[in-house]
Amino acid sequence: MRKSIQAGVIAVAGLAAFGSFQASADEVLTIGVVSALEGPGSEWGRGVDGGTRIAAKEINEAGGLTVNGTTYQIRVRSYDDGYAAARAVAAVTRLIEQDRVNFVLGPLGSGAALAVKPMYEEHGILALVNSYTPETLADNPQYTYRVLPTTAEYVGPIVGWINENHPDIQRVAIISPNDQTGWDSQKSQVATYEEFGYDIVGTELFERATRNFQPFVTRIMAQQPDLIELDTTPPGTAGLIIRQAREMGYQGMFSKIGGPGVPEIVDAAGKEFAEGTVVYVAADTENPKYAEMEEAYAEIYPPPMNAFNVFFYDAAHMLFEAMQRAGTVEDVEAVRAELLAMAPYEGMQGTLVWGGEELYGNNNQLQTPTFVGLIQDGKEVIVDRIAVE
Amino acid sequence: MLQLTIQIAVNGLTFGLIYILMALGFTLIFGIMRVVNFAHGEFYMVGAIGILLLFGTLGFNYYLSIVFAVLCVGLLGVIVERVLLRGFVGRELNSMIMALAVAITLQALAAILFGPQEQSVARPVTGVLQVAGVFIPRDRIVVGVIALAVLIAFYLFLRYARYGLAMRAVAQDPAAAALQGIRPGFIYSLAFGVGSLLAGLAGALMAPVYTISPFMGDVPMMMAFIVVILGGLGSIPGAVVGGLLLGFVESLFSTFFGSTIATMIAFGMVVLILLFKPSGLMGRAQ
Amino acid sequence: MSLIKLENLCVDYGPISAVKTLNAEIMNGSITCILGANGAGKSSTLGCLAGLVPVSSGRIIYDGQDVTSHQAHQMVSAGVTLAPEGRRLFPGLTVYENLRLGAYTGHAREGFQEQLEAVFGYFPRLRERRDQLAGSLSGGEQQMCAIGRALMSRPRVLLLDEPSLGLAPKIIVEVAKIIRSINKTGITVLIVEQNAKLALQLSSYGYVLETGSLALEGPCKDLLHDDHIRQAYLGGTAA
Repeated sequence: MRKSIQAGVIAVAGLAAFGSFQASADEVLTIGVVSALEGPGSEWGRGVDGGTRIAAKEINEAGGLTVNGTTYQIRVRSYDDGYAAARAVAAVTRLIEQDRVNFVLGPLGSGAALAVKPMYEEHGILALVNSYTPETLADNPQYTYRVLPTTAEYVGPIVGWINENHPDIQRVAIISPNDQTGWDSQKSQVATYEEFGYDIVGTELFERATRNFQPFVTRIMAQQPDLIELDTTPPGTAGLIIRQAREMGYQGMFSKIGGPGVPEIVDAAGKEFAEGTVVYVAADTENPKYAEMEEAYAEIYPPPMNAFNVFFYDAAHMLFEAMQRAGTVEDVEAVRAELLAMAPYEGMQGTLVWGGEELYGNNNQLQTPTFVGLIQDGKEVIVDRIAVE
Repeated sequence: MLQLTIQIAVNGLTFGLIYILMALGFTLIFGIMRVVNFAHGEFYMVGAIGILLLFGTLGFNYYLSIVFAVLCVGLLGVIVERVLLRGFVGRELNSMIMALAVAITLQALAAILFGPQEQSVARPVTGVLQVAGVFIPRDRIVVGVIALAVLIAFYLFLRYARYGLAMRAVAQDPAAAALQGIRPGFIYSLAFGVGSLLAGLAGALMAPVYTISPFMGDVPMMMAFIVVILGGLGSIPGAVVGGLLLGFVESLFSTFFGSTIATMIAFGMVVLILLFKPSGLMGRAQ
Repeated sequence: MSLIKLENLCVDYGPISAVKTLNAEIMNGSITCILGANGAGKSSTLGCLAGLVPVSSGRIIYDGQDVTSHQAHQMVSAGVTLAPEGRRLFPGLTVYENLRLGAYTGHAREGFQEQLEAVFGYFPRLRERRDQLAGSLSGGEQQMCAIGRALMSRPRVLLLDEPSLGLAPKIIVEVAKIIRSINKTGITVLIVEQNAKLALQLSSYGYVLETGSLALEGPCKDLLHDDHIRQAYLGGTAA
């Protein structure tokens, strides 16, 4: 009951936002969004909805989406899945049965994505999702595409950057949380570092509730690493590890190729200890378009905006352009073919291409440019922008 | 090797002192009221939140903030005992469920008021003491010294003070204590207040060392539980012995085998104790 | 002059009534005893006086005041102290700490040292065992400690519940002597005993309870010669 009220409120809010345009006699094209919009996960999940809505709004304000001579006003139908698989299934069912959409953006999160993937495949719904697990793209899905990079996508470029800029580093220890996310990401970290010829002197898993890392750090330092990779460790915890390791006399480097959160890292580690840590940066905040998008986002949700917004903004634009190229909003097969054919595509942050063959056996992964960040004076500074090969 | 051994021992001692601080209050409350205080970890969290507010946000002196935060936690404990738990003294199951309700409420309240994310405060003490290749962060030394001082004060209080004596008497025989003119209700409030205060102190001390979040009390609570089962539920010397034992075991095993193994060993010890000496290392058979 | 008056005292534990409309008077400065078999309601009566057992109906008048609803700590403060059945020492505390707890209330704390000397005067053995855990004492020593602890509160009325229980005959004589000398200092003593002979020899006045009701009362020298008492409690034949 509560869920449907929430969904209703969001739908009404959506209608109100685009109400002025719907007054015209244009056709309406409805696309679906499923994501965490309230409660846990919503700080990420709202990026899916926000990015999609901003793209739709831009098109509507410019007069609508013209496909094969017909101009459509785009309506975004958003449902909250509360970051839970069961609610995502319910939301997708509604989008299919009730709203009769052909295109969905979301959900976000491994559990939800894996739960609804069979529905997308069975009903032929073209879906642009985000999730961490490689399972999302397993079994060669025909309609499910991932539009955000995972560790597997960006570890390579960043390790390459480290390799090039810090040739003295030889021994690497990798620390990850002890759960599905950590196991998956650590595996790809190990593979990548080994590929670049590093000695992996330690792979450690810790319980997420751990705050006391002294023995842990003592143990790692006994292996004398030159670099400690913090992987998908939550940012606050990563800061604690950095601080405790520095206090135990660790002189080497840190990198955290996985997940955002530089402010939290700096808070927990202290400015001085966090200095020089290599981080993965999801979105190029120095890009002038980024500030514009933050403004547009603030009209939909309270700030701060999450980087995910950028990826779904690009994905939504790609989807709309694919419809135009295919000349249809009904024929999913045709739209899908155009969506794949239109890359390389110039997105907000650079060139986007479809890839992933090596890892997943298909090219359902949208490859995006990688930004290498460095913590300098307590702030994240982008030191390199690496385009997709 | 010697260096590593000393490092492990120093680490174990600093963890142990905090575990003792947590476990003492827990065991005191159980010993006197027969209440398994599942909200103990939340008093730890409230102590840390106190530091976040007073020291982090309002910018008061750190040591003054500790005193104030800890007193507030003690007062909160007294209120919780008087209003919510007094009716259940001696009824272990009911009081346990009530304590659990308090724990969940405090956690949710903290999440609503301060957000669910991890937060940090600036560290009042920084730097590292390096002696013969052994590293001891100065903030841990401060924590250790304060914890040790409070533990000694607590020991002297229990050993010699009139109310300390009364607490031990109520723990051993509430009816006989009443016959000496002791008001058990007053002692319940006092014990719960002091117990919460010790947990709050542990939280306040660790707030700048770790991060602060509504859920930060879960692990210390679990550690307190392990400690009192090792040492003997309700036994004060047991909490000291159990706390040091757990500190050293954790330090040793997580250094050599990782934290997952260390946690496993800790629970393994609990299983052995429960099987072969259920009253704990220092507990009297009931 | 009567110091304590029980008026129609009733004690119920749920549906079971332990004491039924008991009327009794304890004279100031006397030694009074309550006799009866196991479960006759003796200990419940003492419990009421000590404020440990709630009174179901009736009144307790102490020193002219109604103290029926007083709790244990209030009774101790008022000067009525019980040395309970089975001694109920704090086994994990030392003899000294047990005695210190006896002097927990305000008025007793002031004369602590003096009173401690007095108790050690009655029971020199306690001085020797001062820093020993109470749980490690012998039965006789524990009883001495229990009486000593009760004395530490500087009571006007000392309630003794089965002081002879489990003690060797030689020790019983010793304890009886001390009770008498305590009484000589002006402390009123109310004693509950199954050892009727001892109680009657010690006391001046006695009450006999049977299944919660008063069966008999009178001066002890009369009770000692009562046929019913001799048969039921003294194990002797009719004189």
